[in-house]
Amino acid sequence: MTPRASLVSYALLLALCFCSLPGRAAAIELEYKLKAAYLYNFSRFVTWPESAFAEKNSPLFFCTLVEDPFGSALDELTQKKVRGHPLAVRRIEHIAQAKSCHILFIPTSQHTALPHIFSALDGRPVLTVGDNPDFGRAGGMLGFTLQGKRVRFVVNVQAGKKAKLHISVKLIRLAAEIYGGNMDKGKP
Amino acid sequence: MPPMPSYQTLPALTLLLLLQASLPCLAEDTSLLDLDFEALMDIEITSLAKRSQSLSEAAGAVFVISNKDLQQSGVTSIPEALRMVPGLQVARIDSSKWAVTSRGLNGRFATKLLVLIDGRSAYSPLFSGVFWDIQDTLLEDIERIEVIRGPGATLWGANAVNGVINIITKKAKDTQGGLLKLAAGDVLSSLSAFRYGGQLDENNHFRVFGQHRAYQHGQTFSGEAHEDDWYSSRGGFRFDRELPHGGEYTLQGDLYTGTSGQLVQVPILTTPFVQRVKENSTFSGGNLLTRYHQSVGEEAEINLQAYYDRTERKSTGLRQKRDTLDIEFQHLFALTTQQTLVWGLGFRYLQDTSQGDLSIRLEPKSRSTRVFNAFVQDDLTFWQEQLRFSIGTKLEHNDYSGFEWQPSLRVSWSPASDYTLWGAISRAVRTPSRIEHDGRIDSQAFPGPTLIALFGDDNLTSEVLIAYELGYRHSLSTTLSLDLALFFNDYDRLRTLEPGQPFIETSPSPPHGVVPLAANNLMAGEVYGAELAVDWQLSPHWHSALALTLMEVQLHRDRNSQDAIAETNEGDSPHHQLSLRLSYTPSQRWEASLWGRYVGSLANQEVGRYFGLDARLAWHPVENVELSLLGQNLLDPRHPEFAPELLDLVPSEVERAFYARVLWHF
Repeated sequence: MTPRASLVSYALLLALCFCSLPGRAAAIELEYKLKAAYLYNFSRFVTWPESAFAEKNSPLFFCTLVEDPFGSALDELTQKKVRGHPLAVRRIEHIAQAKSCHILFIPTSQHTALPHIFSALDGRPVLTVGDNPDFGRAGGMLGFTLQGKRVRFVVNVQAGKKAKLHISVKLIRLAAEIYGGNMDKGKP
Repeated sequence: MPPMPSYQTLPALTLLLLLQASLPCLAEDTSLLDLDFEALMDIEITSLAKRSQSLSEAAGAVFVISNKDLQQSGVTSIPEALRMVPGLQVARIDSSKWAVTSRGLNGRFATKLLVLIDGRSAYSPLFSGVFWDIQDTLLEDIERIEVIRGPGATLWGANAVNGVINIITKKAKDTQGGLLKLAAGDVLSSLSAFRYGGQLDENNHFRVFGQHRAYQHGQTFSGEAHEDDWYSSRGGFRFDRELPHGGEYTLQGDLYTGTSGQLVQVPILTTPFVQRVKENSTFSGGNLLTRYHQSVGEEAEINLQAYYDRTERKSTGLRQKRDTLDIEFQHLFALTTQQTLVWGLGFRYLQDTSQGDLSIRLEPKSRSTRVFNAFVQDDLTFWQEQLRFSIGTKLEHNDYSGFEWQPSLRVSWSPASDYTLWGAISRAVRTPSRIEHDGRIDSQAFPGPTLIALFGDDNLTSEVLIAYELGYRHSLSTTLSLDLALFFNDYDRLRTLEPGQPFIETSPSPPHGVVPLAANNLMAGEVYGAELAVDWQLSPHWHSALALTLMEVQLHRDRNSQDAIAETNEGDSPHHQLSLRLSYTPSQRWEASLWGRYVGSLANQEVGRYFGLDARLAWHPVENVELSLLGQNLLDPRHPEFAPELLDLVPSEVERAFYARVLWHF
C-alpha cells in the first residue's frame, strides 16, 4: 500500500471506529446534567395558568433558544410527567417560535438580545431560565449561578408575576438571591 | 519532545484511544432526576479551565461574529462580514477576490492569517494565502465566526501569525426543517440556496444544502468594463451523532465548482511589452471531514479530527491540483484542580501538481510535503480562578524550513466577573510558500527585450514574529461592554526580492535578457496599534456596535538588501479604520439596520480613503418568511479598495449595489 493510501485507510478506520463505539462509561458534563435536573424541579414548583395548556394531559414544553448545551440530558426528561402533563423538548432558532413553550432556556450567547426576547414574550406564561446570575437582574425569572463548585440559582419574583406564573415559596426560599420581590434581597 | 508520528504509530494511537474510552467511569448510574432540590444543591462539579473559560476571560483579542450579526448586516459572503471586526483589514480586489489580513501587511495572498472552516484549513500553501472565492459556505448555517487577532500559534500552528479566523457551522440538530433562499440584485445577479435538515432518530441528525450564485462584472479603476463576472455552485451535507454517554461524532463534506473571470496584465517580448488578457478561471473541488469528541471521566476530554480536501484551479496562466490529508488529535485533562494540560499531535500530507504557462512556472511541477506538529499548553489558575497563566508551545517540522517552534505565554487577571486584564508574549513563524520556494513569475518586460522575473529560492527561511499584546475587557453594565487590545509586533526575516546577475535566455524566442529578483529574507519591521470594540444595547429596540482600528507599520531593509521597493509595503494597510453598526427592531415583524464604515487611504496604491454605508430593511409578513432589501456602498457609485501585488491582476472598483432577498423556513 502506498503511504498515501494507508493514511486514507487509517483515517477511515478511525472515523468508523468511533462512530460505532458503545460509548461506555464516560459522563456527560455533569454541570448540564445537573441543570437539566434543576429544570425538571422548576417545572414541579411553578404553576402555569390553565390557559397555558390545551387539555389536562397536553405536553409541557421545555424549549432551548438557538443553542442546546444540554446534549442528551434534556431528552431524559421526556420520560417524566408533571401534574399529568408529559414533558417534551423543543429546540427553537428564533424567539418567534416560542409560542408553545412553557419553559424557555436562554443560553448566555443570547445575552445582548434579552430585551428583545423579553418584549417578544411580554405577558405570556413562559418561564424564562438563563445560564448566568445577571439573568435575574436583567428581567429573567430564574438564572443559574455557580457558588464555588455547586450549581445554584437566582430568582426574579416580579418577572414571574408579570408572566402570570405562580412560583412556589419553596423555590424562592432555596434561591441564592432574590430580585424584584417584596422580600429583602439576599436569602431570607 | 514527543516522538513524531509515523505510519507505524498510528495504529498505536488508535489502540490508546480505544483503551481510554473504555475506562470505567466515575459518574453515578442513578439519574439526577430522582433527586430533590436539596440533594442537587449539594453536588460538586469540577470545571476544566479550558472548557468552562468564557470568552470574557480569554487572554487574547477575540471578536465573535454571531449568526445574528450575519443576518442583520445582510452580507452575502464571509469576507464582507469580516469588515465589522476591529484589527482586520478587508479590501475587495474584484468581484471574486479579496485581500484580508489581521494587523497589517495585507495583500491578495496575505500570508499571515489562518482561516479554518470547522477545523479544516482554507489556507493555500501554494501562495501562502486564502482563495476566498471557494469559501462559499451557506451563511444561514454558520453558528459563529471567531476572530482571534494575534499569534494563535500554540494551538493552530505555523502561519497563524497575525490571527486565526475560525468559521464554525451549526450542528445539524440546530438546522432542522427546510430553508429556501432567493436573492437577486444588480451586482449580485442571483443567489439561490436550499437546505433541508432532518433526523434519523433523536441522536442522529443530518442536513443537506445546495447553493448557486452569480455576479456581474464591474469596472476598472479607469472606468473601462472589467471581466470579473463569476459564478459558483456548491452542495454539501453534515451528519451528527450523539453518543450514549456524552461524546459527539460528525461527518461533513462539500463539493463545489465555478468559474471566475479576471483581467491579467502579462509581459510579452514584443511591443507594447504588456498585454491585457481576459482569463476565465475554473475552480472545483471537494472535502470530507470527520470529527470525534468524547469526555473521559469528568476531568478529561479527547478530540480527534481527520479530513481530506481536494482543490483544482485552471486558468490560462496556471493549472493546479492539490490534495490534502490532515489528521489531528488533542487530549485535555486536569492535572490538579488548578491546572489543566492540553496536548496534541497532528500530521498533514499535501500533494500538488502545478503547471504554469504564460508567466508563472513551478519547478518541480509536482511536490508532496509532510508536516508534523505537536503542541502542549499548560493552564494554571490562582486565587480562585482570578489569575490565569497559560504557557505552551507548538513544534512543527515541514519540508521547506525544517523544525519551527512557537512558544507563547499568556496571563489574564479577572478580579471581578465584569472585567479582565490580559497580556501575552508569543513567537510565531510564517513558513515559505511553494511559489517562494519553487516558482518563477515573469513580472515586467522592456525593450531589449529584457524581462524582470521573480525567482523562488530553496534557501528561503520562515518569517519570524515576536508579538507583545495587552488587553482590557469590561462589562460596564448588562447592556454595555467594551474590549480594548494593544499590540506591538516585531518582525524579522521578512521576505524581500534581491536583484541577481542578469543572464540571456533563448526560449521562448526572441532571445532576451533576464533580470532575476530572487526571494530572500532581508527585511525587519514593526507593526503596532490599538483595537477597540464596543457593544451597546441602547434600549430594548436599539442596538449598536463599534469597531475602531489604529495601526502603524514600519519596515526596514537590512543593510545588504537591494530590494528598492520592499519598504513600500508600509503603505498597503490603512492607519485608521472605523465600523459602526446600528439596528432597530421595533417588533418581531420589522427590522432596520445601518452599517457605516471609514477606511483610511493606502499610501502605496492608487487607493484613497473612503466612507461606506450599507442599509437594510427586513419584514416578516408571516413568522417563517423574511423579505429584505439591502443597499451596499450607498455613498459612492464606485470606489477602489485594493491593487494587488502578485499576478498583476487588474482590480475592479467596488460598486454601489442593491439586492432583494426572500428567506423561507418550512
